[in-house]
Amino acid sequence: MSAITKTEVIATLAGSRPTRGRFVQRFRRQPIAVGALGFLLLVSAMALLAPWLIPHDPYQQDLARVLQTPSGEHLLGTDELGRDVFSRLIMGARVSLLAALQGTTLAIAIGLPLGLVAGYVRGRVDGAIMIVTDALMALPALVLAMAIVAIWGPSLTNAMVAIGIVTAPRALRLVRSSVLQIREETFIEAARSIGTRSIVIVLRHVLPNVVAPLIVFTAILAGTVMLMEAGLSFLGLGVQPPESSWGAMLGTSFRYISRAPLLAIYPGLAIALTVLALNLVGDGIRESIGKKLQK
Amino acid sequence: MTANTQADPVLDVRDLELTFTAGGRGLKLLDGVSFQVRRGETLGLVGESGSGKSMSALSIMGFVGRNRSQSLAGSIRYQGTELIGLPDKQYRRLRGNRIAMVFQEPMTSLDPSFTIGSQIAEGIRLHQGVSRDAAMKRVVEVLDLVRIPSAAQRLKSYPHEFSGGMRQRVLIAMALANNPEFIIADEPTTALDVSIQAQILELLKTLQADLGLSLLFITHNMGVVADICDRVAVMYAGQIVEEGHVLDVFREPRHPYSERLLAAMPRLDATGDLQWIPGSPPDVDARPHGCRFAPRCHLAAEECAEPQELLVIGRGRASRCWRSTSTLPEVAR
Amino acid sequence: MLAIFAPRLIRTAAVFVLVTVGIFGLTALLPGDPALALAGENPTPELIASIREQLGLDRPLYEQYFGWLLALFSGDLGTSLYFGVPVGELIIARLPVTLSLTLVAVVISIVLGLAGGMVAAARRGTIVDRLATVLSTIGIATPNFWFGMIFIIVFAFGLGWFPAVGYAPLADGVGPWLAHLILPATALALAGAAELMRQTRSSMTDTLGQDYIRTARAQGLRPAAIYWRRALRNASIPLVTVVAFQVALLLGGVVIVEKIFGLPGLGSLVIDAVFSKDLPVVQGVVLVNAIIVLSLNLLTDFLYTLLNPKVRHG
Repeated sequence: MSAITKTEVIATLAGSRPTRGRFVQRFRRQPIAVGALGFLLLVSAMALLAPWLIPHDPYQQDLARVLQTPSGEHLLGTDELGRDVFSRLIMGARVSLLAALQGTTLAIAIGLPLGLVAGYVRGRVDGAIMIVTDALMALPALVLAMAIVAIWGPSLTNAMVAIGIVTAPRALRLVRSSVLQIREETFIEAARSIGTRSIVIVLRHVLPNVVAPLIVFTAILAGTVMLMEAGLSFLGLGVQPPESSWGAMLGTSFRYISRAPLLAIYPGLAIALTVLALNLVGDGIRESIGKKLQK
Repeated sequence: MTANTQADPVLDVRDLELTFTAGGRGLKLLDGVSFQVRRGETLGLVGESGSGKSMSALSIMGFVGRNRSQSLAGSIRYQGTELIGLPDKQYRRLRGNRIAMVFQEPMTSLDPSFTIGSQIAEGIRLHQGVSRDAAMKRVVEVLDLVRIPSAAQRLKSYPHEFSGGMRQRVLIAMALANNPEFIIADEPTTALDVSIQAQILELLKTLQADLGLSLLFITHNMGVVADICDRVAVMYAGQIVEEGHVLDVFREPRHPYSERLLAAMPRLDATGDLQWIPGSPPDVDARPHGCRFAPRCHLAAEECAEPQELLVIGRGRASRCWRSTSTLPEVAR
Repeated sequence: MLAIFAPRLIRTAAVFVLVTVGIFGLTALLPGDPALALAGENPTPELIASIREQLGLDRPLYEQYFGWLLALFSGDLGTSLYFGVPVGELIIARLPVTLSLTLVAVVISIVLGLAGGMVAAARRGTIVDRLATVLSTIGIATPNFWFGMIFIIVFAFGLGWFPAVGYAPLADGVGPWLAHLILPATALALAGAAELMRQTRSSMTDTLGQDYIRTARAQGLRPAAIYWRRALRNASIPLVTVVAFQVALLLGGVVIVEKIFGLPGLGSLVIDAVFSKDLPVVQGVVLVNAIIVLSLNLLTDFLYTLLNPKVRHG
């Protein structure tokens, strides 16, 4: 290697930070992704402002007016206990979104550090982590989550912890494969050659480059987590009454599917649209990130 | 369809124009290209990247200029048949049959999932309509022709079992499988090691002589032109700028660009610095109105501001420089 | 070729061992006294004691594990706390249903996904392509049990084409067997088909841009032949892994779909077991599932090696 001074190396390493301006520019040029993001913001706003938006008390039962079709009074009709579906749908947004956030955060919290370690350190540590990851991935995610919830007792928190644990391997794999790619880059070699400690390299040079694919993955993961929560709540293993999420609404509506099929449409549509929006935003982010690495 | 006599050129390209339309604008990649390849002769098409030499080849093969955003004007006559506008079905009967092409990247030009035997045989069975056994026999024949050792055994080998030079031989064999009259070779040796390059060039020369092939040889390397070509056409920015017999052009180039290309060839007996041409060719949408080489030309003058015609300056000799009617002034070396 | 596989086999075995540890460890997750948790409401001391004995909880942990593992290898998956019959029996009785459902779903998934992807790739940029992409995006985002419910509403209640619930064994005729499986299998298959369609399109597009396709065109080969023989052959190599992944996902997805359509398979079994805290059954089903997935992965690797000559010869 030629005589590069330490200052020259540091100068190379202290390169550009992510050009946020260009990213926003590129994202804005994708109408579908922008639309999807708008939808997500709308739903989030709805969830946040729920208590002020709902026309009726979502827990208020009215057994004289069960399973009614949409009317002026009840925009989307009433459910099997006479509760206003529209209000429940809005409140359900809160639960569903929050749950998705919890589960996703946990999955990333587990997967990111372990993925960084596995990808960067390699060797036996990587081997051990990967065998555990593969073992977890061999088990059916939903069933495993169900089993964990069954053992701990059904509750939304337990469900989200279970889902977080069960989906963490995917996050881990993604981070790990990103790290494997990045660590081969010359600027990493340069950093190592001037004696930078590993942890500094990982945090300052590897991590920023993992962030981009990770964000894309997170959007998609949030969708998956939401679907899983819907599944668990559908079965009654997630959110417990009187609280309700969209999945739980679907679950109860199933029992009345022959009498009031419409009840099944609204929460299902809400879930599908939200997950769709998350996927589209993820795709949009993927298209907008520059190909250049941040050194 | 006019009858094609022995004296007529096998390939006759006249005023070929290739236009790519993008975003409402038309980009003329080929601007009035004309050349001919006669029976049994090798024409070299020389130029830098972007000069249009590969595009010319692709136009002849019918791979460009035949969809919504690309169009061809002018004439490409193969053995008297007009190729521009020729229906796909008829074009396919020519490809790999009467006209064959060898490309630049031997490492990636063979299908990794099929044996070389089956790949070559597929073309044979299609064009000659013979049985699988007969086709395989022919495959062994052509593999022998290109000097692949143990051809009969190697039928069942996969491309990844061959080196780069061997793969190129396989591709040449594939091109020869149906006894074509005309072969286009697009930089067939550029991606190979220098020692292998010489072997492949030698092989092509021998095959051409033995089989009476007409060859269009595309390259950016004047040294290769000197080795294998009978005549040469020099391309620059989508146009032919000089044309003639190799010996004539090499001895006495009549266009500043050809002269510079020749001067830039590294030679063992040269003294002084390596010669090179400053600047780079103009972008397709930023071509000068006059002579396209003028911005880089050491002999540029006022007359060069006018668009230059291809002037015939002798038998089979042409140049697109107004200075070409006389010998070019010697450049101080 | 076996030499390539030895390390993979060993690793799979290691993963399997870990899986068994994990499954066994589910009991360890039970807060407090596992026997108490499993005994349900108002247990008698005798019930607790018998459960404890049944689960061998009075022995040290590693002994319990090895005992359990040994029993596993001799086919003993424990006894259902709810039904009182061997777990193995329950699983064997219900396996055909889940396998039938999964099989039909996989076929639908592959046909739709592969065909859709190939059409989309052939007609890149056209309306057909855009439509296919939109459909696939929707397919991936929608919960499969919602599809199931919609299908029931439309095709079972509305049009009356197919039954809404129940299962007909193959022995009773292919017609009824398929009729009962079509709706749930399609609901299951859509997400996988959507993903496969995307991957196929992407893989085909990549393959079509390769130099060897250019060579094939230069040979004068017909476009259809190039597309369906050469391009597909090369494009399908990475797709094998995608399909395997989708199948593994399908196995997990059967759960709720079986419940909705009243299919007596492993999925509905595990749901009931979860609710009745019948841990041996849950463990048994999870184990069977893991075995299938791991075998599937090995099979995929084998197929991949077969399809990719470069890997075969090393």
